[in-house]
Amino acid sequence: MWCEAVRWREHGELGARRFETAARARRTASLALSNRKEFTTPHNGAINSLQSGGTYSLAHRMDQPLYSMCRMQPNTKPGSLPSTGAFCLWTSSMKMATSSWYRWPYGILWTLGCS
Amino acid sequence: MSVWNYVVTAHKPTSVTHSCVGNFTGPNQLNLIVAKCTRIEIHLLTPQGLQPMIDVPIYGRIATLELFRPHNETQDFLFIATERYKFCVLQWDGEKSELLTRAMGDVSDRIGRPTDNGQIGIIDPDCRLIGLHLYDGLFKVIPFDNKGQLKEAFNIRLEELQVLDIKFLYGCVKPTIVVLYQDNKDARHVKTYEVALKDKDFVEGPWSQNNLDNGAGLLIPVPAPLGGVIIIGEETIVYCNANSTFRAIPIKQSIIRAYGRVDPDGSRYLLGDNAGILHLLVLTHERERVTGLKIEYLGETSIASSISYLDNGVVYVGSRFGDSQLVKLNLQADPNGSYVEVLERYVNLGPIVDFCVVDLDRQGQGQVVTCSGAFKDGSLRVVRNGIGINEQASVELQGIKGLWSLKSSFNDPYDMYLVVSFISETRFLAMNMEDELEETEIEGFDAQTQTLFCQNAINDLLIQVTANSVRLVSCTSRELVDQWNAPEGFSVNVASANASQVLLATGGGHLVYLEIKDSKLVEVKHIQLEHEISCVDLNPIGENPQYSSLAAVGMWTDISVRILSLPDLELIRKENLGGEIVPRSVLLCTLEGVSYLLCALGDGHLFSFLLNASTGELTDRKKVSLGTQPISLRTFSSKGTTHVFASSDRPTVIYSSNKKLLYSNVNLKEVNHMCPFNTAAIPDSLAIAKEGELSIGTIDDIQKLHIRTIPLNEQARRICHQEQSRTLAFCSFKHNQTSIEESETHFVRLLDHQTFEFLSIYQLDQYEHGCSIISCSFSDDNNVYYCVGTAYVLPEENEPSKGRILVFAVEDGRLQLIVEKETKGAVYSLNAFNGKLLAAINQKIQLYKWMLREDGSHELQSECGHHGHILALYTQTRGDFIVVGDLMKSISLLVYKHEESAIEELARDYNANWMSAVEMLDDEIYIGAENNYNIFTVRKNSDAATDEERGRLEVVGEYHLGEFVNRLRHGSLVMRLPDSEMGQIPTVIFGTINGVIGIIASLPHEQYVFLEKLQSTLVKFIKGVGNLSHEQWRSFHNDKKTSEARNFLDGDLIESFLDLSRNKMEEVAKGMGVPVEELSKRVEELTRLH
Repeated sequence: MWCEAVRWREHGELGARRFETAARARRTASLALSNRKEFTTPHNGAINSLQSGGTYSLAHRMDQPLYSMCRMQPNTKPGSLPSTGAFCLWTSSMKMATSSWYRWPYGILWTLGCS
Repeated sequence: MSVWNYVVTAHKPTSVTHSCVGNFTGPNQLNLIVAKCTRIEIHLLTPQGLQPMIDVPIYGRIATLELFRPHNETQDFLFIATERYKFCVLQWDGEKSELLTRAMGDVSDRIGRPTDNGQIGIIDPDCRLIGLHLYDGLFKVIPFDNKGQLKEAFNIRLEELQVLDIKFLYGCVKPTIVVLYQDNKDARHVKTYEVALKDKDFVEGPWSQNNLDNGAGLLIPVPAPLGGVIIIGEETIVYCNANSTFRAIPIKQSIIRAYGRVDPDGSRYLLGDNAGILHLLVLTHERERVTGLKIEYLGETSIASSISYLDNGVVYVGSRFGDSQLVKLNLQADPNGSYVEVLERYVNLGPIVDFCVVDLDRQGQGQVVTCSGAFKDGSLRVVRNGIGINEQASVELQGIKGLWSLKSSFNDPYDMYLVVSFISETRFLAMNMEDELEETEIEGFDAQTQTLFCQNAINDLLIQVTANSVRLVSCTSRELVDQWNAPEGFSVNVASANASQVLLATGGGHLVYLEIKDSKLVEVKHIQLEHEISCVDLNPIGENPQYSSLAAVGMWTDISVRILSLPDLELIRKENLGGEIVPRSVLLCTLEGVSYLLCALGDGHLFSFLLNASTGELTDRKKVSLGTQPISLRTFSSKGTTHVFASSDRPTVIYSSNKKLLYSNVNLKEVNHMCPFNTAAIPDSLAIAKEGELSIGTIDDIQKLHIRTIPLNEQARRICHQEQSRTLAFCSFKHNQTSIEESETHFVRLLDHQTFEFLSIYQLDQYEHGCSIISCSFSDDNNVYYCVGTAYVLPEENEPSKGRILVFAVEDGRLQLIVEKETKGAVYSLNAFNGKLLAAINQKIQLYKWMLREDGSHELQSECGHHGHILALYTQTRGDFIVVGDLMKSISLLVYKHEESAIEELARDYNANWMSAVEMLDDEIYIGAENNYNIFTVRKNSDAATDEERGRLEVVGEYHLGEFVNRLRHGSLVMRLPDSEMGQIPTVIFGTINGVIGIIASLPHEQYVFLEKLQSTLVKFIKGVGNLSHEQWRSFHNDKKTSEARNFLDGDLIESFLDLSRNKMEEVAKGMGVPVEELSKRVEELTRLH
């Protein structure tokens, strides 16, 4: 329970390191692993999820907190970019790959394939 | 505020984490040593109680504090290990009265998972080795050699991963440990291991015990010949040993956190639980064999985190959740059935979970009102810089030129007369039989002229000094007994007297010394100095309180202070003060057994010197600024201790603590004159002359920060001040424990912001927790409201899915619920924002507007929101900008776009900081505190060239504070003076778990650079205790990186410059290339920040 853990932490009943460990364990346990693509996702994000706000999330090492890796803003202005889905997905994939390589040298757990 | 920040402690940590008892400072001296996270205090147990000996900072968070005695040593040594894996062994140098470092080192490992349950450090009772459990699965051994020196450390693999406690057993041929651990099914067990030093490995120990109480968490080793170990659980206490002895006793469910051994043979122990109950555990035994366990209730104390049995039934109870205590265990119970008598109480502000800053007088000086303590020891603490005067009576009187108190006879314990001097007359006030002050006459005194000095004298006489004469008056008849007249043309300018001596300074530099002999004034000596005399003092500082062998004289023209011997008036010492400002007051005084000469100048500066009472030698010259106007110095007594009152435009009390002079301002604007006025009706009171007023009152305890405690017997969690209604409101909760279950009741309480009287209460629903509270107003509504954010914490939920926002108005001193709004999660934070209400609800930021309904009532209506956080715990706002402190994802910056009614993210810090507090220093720079006791600053890059750069908050400052910060708030503890440079420096106050109140001040770059150089220089002169490194201590450190501290200065280190000896000060100043006086002034000005 986040609410109580934060409270115990703030008066020293729960040590800082134990708080982190418990929080990471809870985050890991709450991950929903799936190969199915989704357009919306809960805040503690499933793998392979795509939020409508354009933020991706990726889980790799289970003991590490989740990061927001990159930001893809939906193209809402007509004529500024090609509006084909294929191009958009390709661009997203390329950015994702670059970010993955840069941030996690252990390899890519997930890739975004074209449907 | 700026990038360059100065971090300083206003209130030291007070939460006790460790304590131990032993013969540290001498073979026959019993010491209590207390650790308060980053500080250690060493006390000496005397018949008068605990006497403080030393109080020093440690460059690290103390994880282990143990006293041990190697073979053939007569005194104990102190082992300290820090959380960042540094250790040292300290011993006491009796000749120099200081700590020596016997050994030091680093026991960190490159690999290994730091243990979650807290580091363990233990020492074999026979001093063969030190054992450390720092990483899961590893037990580090530091062996001793035959001479008690430490040898090279090594690791032993430990199979148990979830270790709860480890202790060495007594009386074992080989070093043997007992390990309390939890298996992967959450069952708890103990097993023993022998440490094979040669093989550097464990050997299976003599016994083990499986399936203990599920709440077992503490081991107590029992000395030989009983031996064995006591295992403390939540419902059972077990004793077992190598002889298969197993004894168990059920206890009422409780969590015992602390113990102290009473007897050297280990037959009795004191146990303290999380409800503050003190029990005595007795091991009944026959023929060196334990036959049973017995537990007895002793009474209630603060919730103990450490218990140290001292001697003769006196026990020190150290606490992290309430005040620490010195208690006496009586043989007979009191009417309440308690055997515990509290002898002494030591203030503990920790844990500070929230605070607000209340500026009642709107002078820029805030009172900090903290939510302190936990569980039944919860309280509010009002922390105020400076000493308060509790005015009892006052009368309007203009033009007071002097004040003195007189007793009706020399040996009376109380004062009776108050002599009030004016420019051309003197009035006398006296306490009548009804304890009222009324005007009276002392016939032998000259009431038609200004009095320069008054004093009780021996032989039941009174002394009055005027410009023309010195008069002796009988206490009984109040008639003139003798008189000395000033020679024609040489009127008395300044004078001083004590019980038997009078020193007069007349025009032309004449100094006249009189003594009282057989009720007669006898002129003993008369000399002429080369310059006019500006001030004199004859206060006795030697063994004879009625006769002084030294006189202090301040001079015009050559700006000097001189020490003259009495009765000859021979010059012993001349001290040139320098500059052009004349000394206006001198005082000889003894504080805490140390003699000083204090010399106050006309510009508000004060010189202090150590004075050798036998020789008159002056040493250790120091200079501080107390104000801008001439100062008048006077001694007074409070609670049996002598202090000095400095009357000026910024009245100050000068006092001694641990043989060190300290200065604390008095919370009065200006005091012209002061004298002690100790009456039976109002003991230890003072008479104070202000502009146009004479008042009499008592003085608060003499300390830098004055702390008032408002006990709650429940835990306050969030607090807020509302100036308009003159109230404070806070969220609190109380534990309710019955034999069946444990529950909590949560409240919103309202109290008066001056008297702290409880005015109103609102009880939240079952399972509803108060999480946040603010005072705010809304657009198009002139009222001011309290808004409370809550969460429904249901046992079956993993996360709160429901909460409320409650809007209260204060009407006739009562909380009136105006609006409630249900939320889909816990409301962790609330802010007033653009006439609306901003709420952090679980992972979302939600903005509500205050809407007027057709029926005239209001409601909160959701306008827009922003998500993308793990858990938005802390928010601060400034203009249209919002800073969010996330549980895991550091700081992000959001902006509210009015036209679009949208909240968007502008930038974020991509480090994975686990936040505990955030604040906006200004529009561009934000500060955060995180889980690993670091603070850091980030800056918005509005002018960056690319979107990516603009979307990243740049980290511009990093610093290891060593304290867990729960709250950062703008504010100041000290009065902001417009004529002071320090008054222009913006400050943020922070509060921590260990009770620290600190200040972060943003400095101009030039000043920062200067002080950074000073800090670098000081590091060379001031070595940390145990030779621990300051640079390593202050480096930013978490699991992922360690980096040098940058753009933060350690104010505690810098201000310790003022504690150096004069010689060392000069060396530091030489290294800085500035005069020592200038350097002292600049550092002293910094102390005015807190």
